[in-house]
Amino acid sequence: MRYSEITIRFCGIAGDGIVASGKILAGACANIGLHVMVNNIYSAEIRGMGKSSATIRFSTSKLYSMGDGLDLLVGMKGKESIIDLRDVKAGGNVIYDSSVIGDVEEEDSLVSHITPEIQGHGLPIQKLANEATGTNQGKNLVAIGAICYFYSLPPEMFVDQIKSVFAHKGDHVIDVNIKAFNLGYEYFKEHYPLNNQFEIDKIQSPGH
Amino acid sequence: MEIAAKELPKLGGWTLQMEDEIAAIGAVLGAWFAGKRAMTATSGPGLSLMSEMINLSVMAEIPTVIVNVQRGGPSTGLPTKVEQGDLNIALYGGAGDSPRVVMAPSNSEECYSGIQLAFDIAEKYQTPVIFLSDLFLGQRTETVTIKENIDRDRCTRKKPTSEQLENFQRYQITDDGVSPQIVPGEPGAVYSTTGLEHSVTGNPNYEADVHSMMTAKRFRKFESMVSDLPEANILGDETAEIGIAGWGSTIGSILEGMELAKKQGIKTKLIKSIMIHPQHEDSFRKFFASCKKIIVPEMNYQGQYADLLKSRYGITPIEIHIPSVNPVSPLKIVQKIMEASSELSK
Repeated sequence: MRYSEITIRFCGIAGDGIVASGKILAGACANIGLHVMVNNIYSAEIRGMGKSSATIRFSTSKLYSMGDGLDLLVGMKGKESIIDLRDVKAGGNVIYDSSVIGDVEEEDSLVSHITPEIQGHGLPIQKLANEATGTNQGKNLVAIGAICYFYSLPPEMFVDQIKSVFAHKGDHVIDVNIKAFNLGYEYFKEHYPLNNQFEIDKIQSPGH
Repeated sequence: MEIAAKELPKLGGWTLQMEDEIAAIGAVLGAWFAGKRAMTATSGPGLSLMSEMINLSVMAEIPTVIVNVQRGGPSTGLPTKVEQGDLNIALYGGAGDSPRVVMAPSNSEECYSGIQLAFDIAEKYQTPVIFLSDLFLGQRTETVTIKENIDRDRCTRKKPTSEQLENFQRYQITDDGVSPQIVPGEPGAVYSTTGLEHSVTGNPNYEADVHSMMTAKRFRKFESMVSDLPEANILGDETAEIGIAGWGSTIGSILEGMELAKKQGIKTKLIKSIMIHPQHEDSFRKFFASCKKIIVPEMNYQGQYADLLKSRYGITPIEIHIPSVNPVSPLKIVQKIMEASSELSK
């Protein structure tokens, strides 16, 4: 399928790097001249707790709003993402963390709520993040790596953005985040044959 | 605020963290009274707390700029969700006859250029300016093209001539309603300033003719400032019979709704202005006169902008009231456009 506009939502809880995911994806898209709009939503009660989401819409032409519906929902934590399934367009896609399946009750499992008109794609987000960073951090970069492959986006745009965002944290942090990105990218390349193409070459008057 | 605390000192500015909203607006008024430009930012409940100090800004003719990033209300409401429910308090939330400028940017670029205009209007016309952003605007990330073509001399303070200084009248009656102003400590004159009604010198005065004269002067500024305000923008197909009027971040969803309607072969046009009050009323009158159907979508339950337009222009629009949590769906806009179109074709 060919796209000139995509809307992606990262959904999870504090600590999953949701807002950072939005920043990295949006920044990378803006740097190559795409038009971008981001809407972050989080709970009010206590900063640093509860559900949060970042919705990123990017396009080759001018954007005025967040539009309607999601092309892709990335559920960093399954339970919190279930309600967001209703926003996924028919024919849209969901990436869920396959490394935690079996650890959660069926009613709390994102994958068990995916309806037939939506495509589910398992990605062992936590497992690959652990492999890359030795910690639970880096889950967002694993997901972004998968997204990069999924929509045939050029990996360099994300690698450059990771270097820029984490520059103040030193080379080690940059290296493990790039590793997390690459693991996500390679996993999708191996498990999901490429059939999507984002048409970067159709950019109309760069968005920056 | 953390960014302002870092960046403003580099430009010779200050960031003060005050204990509450009343103190914050008090500090802003104090800064303007001393001749400096200042602003504060809050959301709906904070604007409620600032109401009395806004009245002081009106009465004492001390400029002030307040950004209100609207969230769901009332009360603590929905602190991290978007709504456009503060238009009424921005327009009317004051004791007595207390006119104020209300502006509402519709995207990030207008936040950038509009706030500069807000400062200029406040300074030249010695008035409060309430800048109504909303949570979707305040927290969004967006690619923008910034236009660096601001006329930095477009609005300046009216200073007294040497003749005027000899018998200084801080609240002198003028054609445009704007009186010459000096700051405390400036050589040449002293004056009183107060929240009480006052004569041209600033001394308290409760006579009926003085109150009428000074109230009229305070309102006259809103007529004279119109020439300094940007014209309304009309977008879409000028020949369309369906017209839409919107404000704030809802404009983005309207524009995409109009694009969807165009793909269905339905022509529409939009009138938008960063100026809610005052605004170039002739542009709005002409626009509404050219429409057979008028749609006014907004993110609140009451239809606050629709109410303003109805009372100001005598129109009877199709209203879309969305007490929102999320940004408005363009599909909701196009559905209403299609309904209006099918009614027109009956």
